[in-house]
Amino acid sequence: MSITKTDALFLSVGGFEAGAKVGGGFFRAMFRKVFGAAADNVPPNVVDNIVEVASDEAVAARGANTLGRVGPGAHAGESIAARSTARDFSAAERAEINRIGSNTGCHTCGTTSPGTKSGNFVPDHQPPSALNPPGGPQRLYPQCLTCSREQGLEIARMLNSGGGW
Amino acid sequence: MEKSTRIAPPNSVVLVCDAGGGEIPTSMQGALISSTPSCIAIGCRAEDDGETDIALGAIEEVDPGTPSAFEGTLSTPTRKVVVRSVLGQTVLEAAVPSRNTRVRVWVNDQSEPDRVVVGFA
Repeated sequence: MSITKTDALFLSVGGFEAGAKVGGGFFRAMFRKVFGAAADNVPPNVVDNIVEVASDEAVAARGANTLGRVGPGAHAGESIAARSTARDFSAAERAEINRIGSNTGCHTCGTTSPGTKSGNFVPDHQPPSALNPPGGPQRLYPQCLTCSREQGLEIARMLNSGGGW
Repeated sequence: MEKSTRIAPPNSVVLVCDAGGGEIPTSMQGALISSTPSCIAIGCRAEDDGETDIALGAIEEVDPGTPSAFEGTLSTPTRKVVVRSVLGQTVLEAAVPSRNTRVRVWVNDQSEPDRVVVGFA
């Protein structure tokens, strides 16, 4: 099976173009999920090219990454390194995410209101832990509760359509 | 018999559907609960702020006697309803009597509940 530019664009329009910001490993993992072992036969430079072309076309097609809810959003500003996929955030990490959120808002929709009773933004792993290659680097961005839930539905649909559950 | 669990679900949302899966809503549409004929998505307490009690059981057993936040019919072709995380982890499951199951959902808060009760009949 070969991966065409159209295939890549299909994946990208689904919101994956943000993976370009974190490298081809994210895309390769997506290809592997969709195309199986065939993804491993694609040279790294081809992945890079697909990422670049698909990202540009997808972003141009819809203006910005505002529809897809997976990947750093259109309002992404500062972020902090994630120590792991775990959600054992320290007080300092939560404070930093809240500081970034109060300045630049939810990375997905831009609101500066986190929408939680606690007043805390959701520290959002990007790429999402469910879609990130094992050991792959992740960043934490502030996200509002509404967008976090929407992202959850999108991830569930991705996993479900891939036969994940 | 009522079954329950206490979890901090990923992305602060759980899904109620047939054990064989369902059509996941495309959006919460700004509400706490969103549904398709085969899947109900329910918002919970913000996952990093604490856990949510989730209960599943027959309506006559779990009805707290307050107005429900959702009432509808769920397609359950395997006659087994499950509560799942968005990552596909089943946290609760129960056998149901038919392939179309009446479902009611009660929550203790309209935006960020820490108790969710799912009743079926």
